[in-house]
Amino acid sequence: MTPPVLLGAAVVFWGWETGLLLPATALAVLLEGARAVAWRVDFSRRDFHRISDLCTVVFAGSAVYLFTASGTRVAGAPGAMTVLFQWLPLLVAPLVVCQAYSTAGKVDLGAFLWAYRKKAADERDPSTDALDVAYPYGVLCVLSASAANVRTPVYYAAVCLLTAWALWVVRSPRFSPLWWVASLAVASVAGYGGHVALHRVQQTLEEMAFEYISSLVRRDTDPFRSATAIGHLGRLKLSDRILLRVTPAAGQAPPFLLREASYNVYNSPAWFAVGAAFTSVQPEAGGETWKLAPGPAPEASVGVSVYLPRGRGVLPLPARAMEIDKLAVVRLSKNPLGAVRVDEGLGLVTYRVRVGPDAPLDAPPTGFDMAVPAAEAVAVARIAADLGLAGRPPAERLAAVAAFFRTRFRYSTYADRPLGQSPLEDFLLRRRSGHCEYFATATVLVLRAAGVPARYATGYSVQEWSRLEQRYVVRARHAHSWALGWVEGAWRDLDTTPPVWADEEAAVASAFEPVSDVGSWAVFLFSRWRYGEGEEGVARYLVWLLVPLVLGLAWRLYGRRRIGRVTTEAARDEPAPRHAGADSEFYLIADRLAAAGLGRGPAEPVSTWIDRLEAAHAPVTADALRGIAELHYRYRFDPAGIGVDERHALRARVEAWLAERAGAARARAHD
Amino acid sequence: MTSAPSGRDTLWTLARSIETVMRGQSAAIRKLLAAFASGGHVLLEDYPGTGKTTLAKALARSIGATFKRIQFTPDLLPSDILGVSVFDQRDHAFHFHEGAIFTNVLLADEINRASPRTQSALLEAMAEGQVSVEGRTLRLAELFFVIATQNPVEFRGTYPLPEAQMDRFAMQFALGYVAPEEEVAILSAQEQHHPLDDVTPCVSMDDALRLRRSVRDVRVSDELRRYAVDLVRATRALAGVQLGASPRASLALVKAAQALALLDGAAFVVPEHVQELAVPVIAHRLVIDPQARFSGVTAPGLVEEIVKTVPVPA
Repeated sequence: MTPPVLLGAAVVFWGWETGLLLPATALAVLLEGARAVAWRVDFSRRDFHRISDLCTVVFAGSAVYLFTASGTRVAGAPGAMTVLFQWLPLLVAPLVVCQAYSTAGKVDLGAFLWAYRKKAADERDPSTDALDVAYPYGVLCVLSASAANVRTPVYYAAVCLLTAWALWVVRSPRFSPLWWVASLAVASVAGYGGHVALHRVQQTLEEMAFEYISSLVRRDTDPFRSATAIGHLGRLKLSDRILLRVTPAAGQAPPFLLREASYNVYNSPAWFAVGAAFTSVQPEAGGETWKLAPGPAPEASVGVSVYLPRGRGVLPLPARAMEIDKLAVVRLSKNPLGAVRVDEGLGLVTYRVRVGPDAPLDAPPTGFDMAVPAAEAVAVARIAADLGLAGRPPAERLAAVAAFFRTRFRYSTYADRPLGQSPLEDFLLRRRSGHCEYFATATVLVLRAAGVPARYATGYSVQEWSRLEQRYVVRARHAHSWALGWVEGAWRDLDTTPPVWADEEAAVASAFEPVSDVGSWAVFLFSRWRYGEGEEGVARYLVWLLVPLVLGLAWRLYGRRRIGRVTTEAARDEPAPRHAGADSEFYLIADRLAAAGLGRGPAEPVSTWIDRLEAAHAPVTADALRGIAELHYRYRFDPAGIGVDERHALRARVEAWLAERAGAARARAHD
Repeated sequence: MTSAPSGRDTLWTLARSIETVMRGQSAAIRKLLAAFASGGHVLLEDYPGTGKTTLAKALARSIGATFKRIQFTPDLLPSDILGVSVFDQRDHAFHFHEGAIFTNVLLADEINRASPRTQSALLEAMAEGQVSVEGRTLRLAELFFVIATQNPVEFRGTYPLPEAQMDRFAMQFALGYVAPEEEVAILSAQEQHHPLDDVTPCVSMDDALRLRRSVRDVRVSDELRRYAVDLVRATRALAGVQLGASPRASLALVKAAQALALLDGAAFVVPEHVQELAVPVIAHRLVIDPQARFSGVTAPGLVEEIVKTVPVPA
């Protein structure tokens, strides 16, 4: 047993932290109330098993509900796992309450372990290993309270207090309480210091891990920084995973590009977006239409479905996007370099993008769009001079650069060690083969050297038609980068990578790609359903799912034998079938006498009962009662039954007896 | 009211006849007659001098049936009970000499003094009404009733009956000491001669056999059968009990209750009959845990407790 009120206090603390104070208070009263009441219920092992099963079913049901309902959750709400963790004390409460009110005071281990149940079922005389769940439950309450993540010192103080409370009862009497308090205080302070230090270490480790991972992962959607694989050695291998699903506008032919972000400053080996602060975009009425630029948008639109891990991410958009329609997110922002970011949304979004005549998203060029880093300046200037770009109109310069890369360069995902200079210089002057990042970066820098403002863009190339899904799919290996050139007051896409790049990438695709595509499609369909992309939310279906669940639970609880307050093994068996003669009027007399405090004991036969009444000089006419009991017995226990006359006689005699008793009672009242 | 007058009258005649000898023992006589009428055997366990042998003799003499008595001693052999083949010099052949078991009423006095081998010679006879001697199976008389007695206080030189054999007895009960007035009456009755000498057969063998048949006609409701089974089953899950009562116990309980109902002149069994017989029918079949036994738990006490707790149909 836990010390009085400790468990209740833990439960109330949990309720206070998680905001479930009302159910927590009720639960605490219920748990602590067990000390006040004298009765206990004799739960058998199987009863505990059943209660534990109930908890499991409720837990599973809650998990399913929370997981699916989290698709439609409101902004700022915690995730499904967190809520489930917070609810945990409530979900297992039935077991703890039953323990508190049980005669055993412990829960059979079979309630937690199936293996134990099976073992007990096999053995004739099963062992009676049981667990007192009171303390574990208190710990669970404290842990679940932490899920509420109320970042105040109160939590730690309360944990210390509850721990001290529990330990006080079992403290060693060998030492003075002063020692006990002092050592506990030291432990508390050390614990706090340790927790702070641990937090710092975790932060540092997280930062290091983040840097390491972002250096590995190709597809990062950081709109401020794009790490390229320029300078990496060996073969570049990208996965076949499907990332986007695209429905092009009418008349639009692939391949076309979907841009995620553009960058203006190159600092080998990464591109950076400088001066690219995000500003929030306000939705139009209806909440699903987001205007990126003023003015009416044309009807033609491109449809895109994209996963947003944790509801955040940069949206791939076609060039000159003006308006995003049917985008169900909470917050959206854009930056002057054309990146549009979802700050808070669902795990999967599907939207339509309307494309205008110009590119209003991208700000006009600044000084950053003309800068060539010193490391590459010599090589780039040499190429620009060789091409004789100076003095020609910008459009021609673009065409010349494109032609230069198309004719003189090869596509390759393999890179050797550069010969002394920077990788880009090596690419431009000697090797003349590389992947899209080399092409795009070199193009940007050459254009800048030729006096054309240019930016580096990353995104995807749409080119693969899926017969399975009847739409275009974009895989991770379709990630692409290209250049943007400022020509005649507008940004133009300039993709100088040889078009064979996509075929070369596809050639090394996995043989299992069709299989994984089917799986990917199934996941996509499920995600659409989960995030309520249809007309209706998931929660509506869930209610119907709950109906069989509730019915099943009700059947389990009521369909079988009920749990009663009984004391003997025999009485715990199945209730006897409805017995013969159950409608005997004799029971009226029995009830009347029981109401007068002269009731028959459950194991007392009728004749013994009547003898007892007579011996106690109870105000009953025992002989009349014996006569009635005899008839009643014949009606009840003679399989041959009684005749109609005797049945009538039984009724009449009971009525007479009752009338006589009522008369006697009236007479006594008059006296 | 339909009843079985012949069976009931037989029982009443027997009861009256025994009561002339056994004063103040009507409860014991009821049980004895219930066991006799239901075809079960009886084990009487009581102190010496309480009238065990007298009761058995009174019953045997009241019936016009053969009565034999075996005094069990440690050197008693199975052949003393079952019989032995003796070689006849004149016709050069073995002749089987029947033992004491070939009788209608058998009094096995101080049964726990004989060796287990001899005790078990009784086993087959009691359970199946037949004996196997020298490879031959011989049927016993149709009316075969064993009254065994044993002394509970003496342990030296005794062989307690094994559980299997205890189970063969339908009932075990004690007579107990009678009230002082009754004891005075016994003294005065025996001043001239023993009343047992006056007992004459008042019930024929046929009557006795008919009595047993009429017991089977006493009606029992399913609910009371279930009650009897509940009582017996309760012993199997009781703390302090190593071995609970067998289904044979429920069978004997219902049969004896039928006989008791007949003795009461009823055509059907009521819960009181089952309750009255629960202790004598069930208690001796239980094997009590040694630890529980030393802490004062007794089998009759446990069965009484069960009777007091298991809800009775009413």
